[in-house]
Amino acid sequence: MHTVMNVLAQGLSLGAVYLLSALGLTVIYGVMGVVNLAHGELLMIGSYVVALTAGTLSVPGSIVLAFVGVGALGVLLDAVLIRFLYHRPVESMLATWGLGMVIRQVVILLFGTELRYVALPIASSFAIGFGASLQWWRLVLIVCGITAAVGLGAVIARTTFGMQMRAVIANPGIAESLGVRSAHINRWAFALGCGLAGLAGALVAPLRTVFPNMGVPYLVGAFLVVVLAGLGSVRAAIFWSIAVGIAFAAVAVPVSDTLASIVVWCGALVIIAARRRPVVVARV
Amino acid sequence: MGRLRDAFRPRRTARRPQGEAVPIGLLFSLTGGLAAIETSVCQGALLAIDEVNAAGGIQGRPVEAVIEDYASDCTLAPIRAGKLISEHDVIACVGGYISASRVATAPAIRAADSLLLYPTYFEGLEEDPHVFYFGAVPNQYLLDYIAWVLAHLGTRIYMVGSDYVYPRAVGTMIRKLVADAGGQVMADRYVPLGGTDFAEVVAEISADRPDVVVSNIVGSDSTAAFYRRFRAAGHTAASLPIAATVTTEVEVQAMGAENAAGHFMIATYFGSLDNPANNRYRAAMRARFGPDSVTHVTQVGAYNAVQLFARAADRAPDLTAPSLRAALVGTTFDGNPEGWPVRVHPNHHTDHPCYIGCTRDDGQFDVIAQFEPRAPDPYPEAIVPSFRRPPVGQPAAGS
Amino acid sequence: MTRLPGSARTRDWTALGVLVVLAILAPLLLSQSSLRLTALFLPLALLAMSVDILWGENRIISFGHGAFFAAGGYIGGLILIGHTYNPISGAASFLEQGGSSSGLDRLLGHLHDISIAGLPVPALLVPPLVVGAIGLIIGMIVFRVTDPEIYLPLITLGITVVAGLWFNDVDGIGGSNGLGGIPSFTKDIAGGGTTVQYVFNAAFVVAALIGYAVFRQSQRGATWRALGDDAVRLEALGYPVRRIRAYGFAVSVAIAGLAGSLYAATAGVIGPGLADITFSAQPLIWVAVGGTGTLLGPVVGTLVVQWLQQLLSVDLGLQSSWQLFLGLALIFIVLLAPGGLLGSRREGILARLPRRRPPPSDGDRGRRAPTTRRTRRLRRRADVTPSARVVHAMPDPSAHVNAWSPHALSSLVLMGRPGAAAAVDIDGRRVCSGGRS
Repeated sequence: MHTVMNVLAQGLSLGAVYLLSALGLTVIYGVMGVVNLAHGELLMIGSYVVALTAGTLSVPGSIVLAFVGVGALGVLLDAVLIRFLYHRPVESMLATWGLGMVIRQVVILLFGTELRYVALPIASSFAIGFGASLQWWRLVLIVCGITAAVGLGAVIARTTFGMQMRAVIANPGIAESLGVRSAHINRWAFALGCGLAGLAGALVAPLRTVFPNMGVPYLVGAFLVVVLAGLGSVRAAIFWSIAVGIAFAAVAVPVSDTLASIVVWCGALVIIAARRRPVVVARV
Repeated sequence: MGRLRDAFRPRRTARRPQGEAVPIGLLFSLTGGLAAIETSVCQGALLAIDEVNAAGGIQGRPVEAVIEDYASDCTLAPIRAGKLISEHDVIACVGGYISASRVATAPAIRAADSLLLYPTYFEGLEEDPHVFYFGAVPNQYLLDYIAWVLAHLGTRIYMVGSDYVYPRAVGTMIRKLVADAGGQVMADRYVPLGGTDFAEVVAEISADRPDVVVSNIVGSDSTAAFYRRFRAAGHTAASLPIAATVTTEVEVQAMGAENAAGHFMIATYFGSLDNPANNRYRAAMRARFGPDSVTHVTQVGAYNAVQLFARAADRAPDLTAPSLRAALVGTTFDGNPEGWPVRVHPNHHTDHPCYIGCTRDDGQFDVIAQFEPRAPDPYPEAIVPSFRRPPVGQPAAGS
Repeated sequence: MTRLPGSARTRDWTALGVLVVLAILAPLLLSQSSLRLTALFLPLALLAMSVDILWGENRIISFGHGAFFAAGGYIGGLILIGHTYNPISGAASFLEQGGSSSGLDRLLGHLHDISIAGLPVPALLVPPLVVGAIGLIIGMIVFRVTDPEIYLPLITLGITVVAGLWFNDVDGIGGSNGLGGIPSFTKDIAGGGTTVQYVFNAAFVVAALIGYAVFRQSQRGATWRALGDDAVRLEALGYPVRRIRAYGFAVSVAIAGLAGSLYAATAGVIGPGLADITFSAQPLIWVAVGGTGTLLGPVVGTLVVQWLQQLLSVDLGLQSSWQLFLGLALIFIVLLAPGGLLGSRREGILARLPRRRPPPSDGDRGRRAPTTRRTRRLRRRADVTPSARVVHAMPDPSAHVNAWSPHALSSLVLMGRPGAAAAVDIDGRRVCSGGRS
């Protein structure tokens, strides 16, 4: 029972990390058909924002700054690069892989390769029964992950921006003729996706080490979720990120991380093989 | 890299030996992920070359260092070694740092019938006729260390290491030693190499409440992440000590000394050792490479390698590999900064004393126990029977 | 546009000729260590070619070829060495079961002993076969997914992650140390020097290039390229698109496996680092620099990038700026010069125009083209037998149903190639025919 509770606690917090990193990826693909392989690097920038402002800003302040700052970077990136890649998934993967290399090296040139650490804002843990415990920060992470996902769903479903976004996805031509400026919508959707990556980075920074190459594993984790959930679906992303997190923890806690990675990816292949329906579900 | 090479060029000294220079290859990564650590190892070799030249060189000829950079890419290492031997006519190569670089380089050295002088302490389980090993093998420090840990820190041990050859091999030995002494290894965890997420491991440690944590984590990133997470979870050296095998001055410096303060480490060399040879060595390093230069165990390995090699070459009838090999066995160097004369054994391994250090707030270690050298045994069958020497005539590991 | 235009064919052969001449001159011009490095880069060029078979012709990119390359290297390396290597228990694997080796060691020993004319042939044949078989299984799974051009990169990325962990963990292949001391293929041939090694590797690259050139001009090559142009139309034509893609993927990774075996034997060492994501993305950069879909692009791109890296990064110490430069180059190529070094200039200018709207040929057709029951029935029944010279110009199945009328179909079939014969049968009844049937 102790192991089961441990698996649940770790699986949920891991799932929250997957969810946070997958959300941005899925929005960006859903709206503008861009597969963003620089997502891990955007997440890394979010972590750096928190690591560099620690001490000068409060924790919530730096997390908000990470969201807004990386979002603003997204506006810039959209203007100079991403807008040429809309709906060209293959080209977008190559160009954003190059972008990721550039961001990593720029961070190395600016801040060096040294490791940075962010102190846990709430260091203590609480008991969840059967001798298992959960760090408070992991609970914050889980809550933030689910809030971000639900909030994103609400933005898409209920706000004017969300409605315009859906209109642009459905038919950019008609949406534009009805007065929706699709270029604007795309730009802000990309900024939103980047902001979510920054938020993810800010939230995981206290749990992991912050360094220029930290992004790639998150990118891989996010991909695992979107491969299973389908690019562009928020609800499926919530389900699959938690499922993957728990499956990973179920092997990692009693055995080892290495075996867990192997089991999870092989499981993903089996699930894809077993699927009769196409993986791409309706976008967003 | 021109500038970098200039910085590494051996200094001319007043008593410069005459005659054609004897080239020695230095095979280290000066670029890439291992650049920082390997550059500092390379400095040990360069200092030794300077001192050898100051003392008259090899058979009256000056020693010239030829540096090749394998750029942290083990695939390039054998090619660079081949280049050193065929284009620069070096009589031996000092180099390699991680085990993978040695495994990659040794065959190229063997093919050219040259010599590789390997500076790092490692898992052992290897005796290559073309390689000389200037770092310790586990039997030289683990026996004393584990006995000390069980006697002073407790018998319930939690073991964590990187998923890597060294931690796996050392872990196997520690499990056997602890079991034989009546202790208990509560868990033996391996995290992916380079991994920085230790939250789960630390949570398990907090729940299991062992007497001591034995860490075989390698790499500055992983080591730092583990010590920091461990401290953040509220553990101190007083409440739950870590006894490490790979946390040297370099790792402590990378993580911030306050995170390692009070924890233990076994090594054949600490920068803080107070003996005449080490005091001289540290002063020479600072004079040569600046006041911030850190001295550490692998660097001393490279330093000893060159010193011992020069002594052997000076005595050898000629500078061919077979003569040098024969001459190296039995050679002794008294100026070993480890504080004990270092001698090359017939199995190509070397003598080392070992010390238990307690990390200070300034990133150096207080030596709290010391042990006399044990003869190096790369296949300690007496400890773990499966560590069997390959039969004579069979190629050694990976060859 | 599915047949290679005549001018392109001539260009292929001319360029190949120039490359062969350069390859012959190289041993005379380069120093021994430079030649050794070039010999090491040639298997990488082969890897780049295997990536381009998927990407240049079929618009599918793979982040997993590094893993297949490493797998080929491990298999070839084990056969060339002749036994497994387990650094943790020393050489204990020799002695298990009272002196006899384990089953795998015995198998490796047998394979190691086979050699034809001094050449260890099993190390050349087994890696591509095994890796190709794995690729076929993965291909059969992955190409069930719609939009494989989006999902294959993601899934192959996962394969790379798993392979990297597995190579580090599995017994008998050296763990994190990797396998060292792999003898070269040419050690028993003419002294086995660097030049022999170079010629051996170059022969494989040239042979692969010739094979690829022939394939590009063949009927199968035309089908393979058509698949990249428009898989949906080809499926409508009755081609087993998924199976073709799975076979193509298997061939591509088999070549990657062969390249890995050559690489391991040339370098003398193979380690888990090659299954790393950064390495797996490298061939894509080489191909992008050289030019996708051009015959020589991958080879030229690999040699140019690898040599530049040697000169700038290692010899001048510009490691980090080099990565920055490479990333910028990749962005530049994708946006402004998609033809790379060898692509035609026209392509580059065309791609400079920003596309604000999804072009109709992109991946989301499956969603935007609701197939009516009638078109689906027609697709099943339209039995268009591709004769040796059919051109795969087809009406868009998502277009209006009338477009599927036999008349429209036959006229389009005939449009592609004057003088060809074509016929359309529906329900076994010939509804139209034309040309010299």
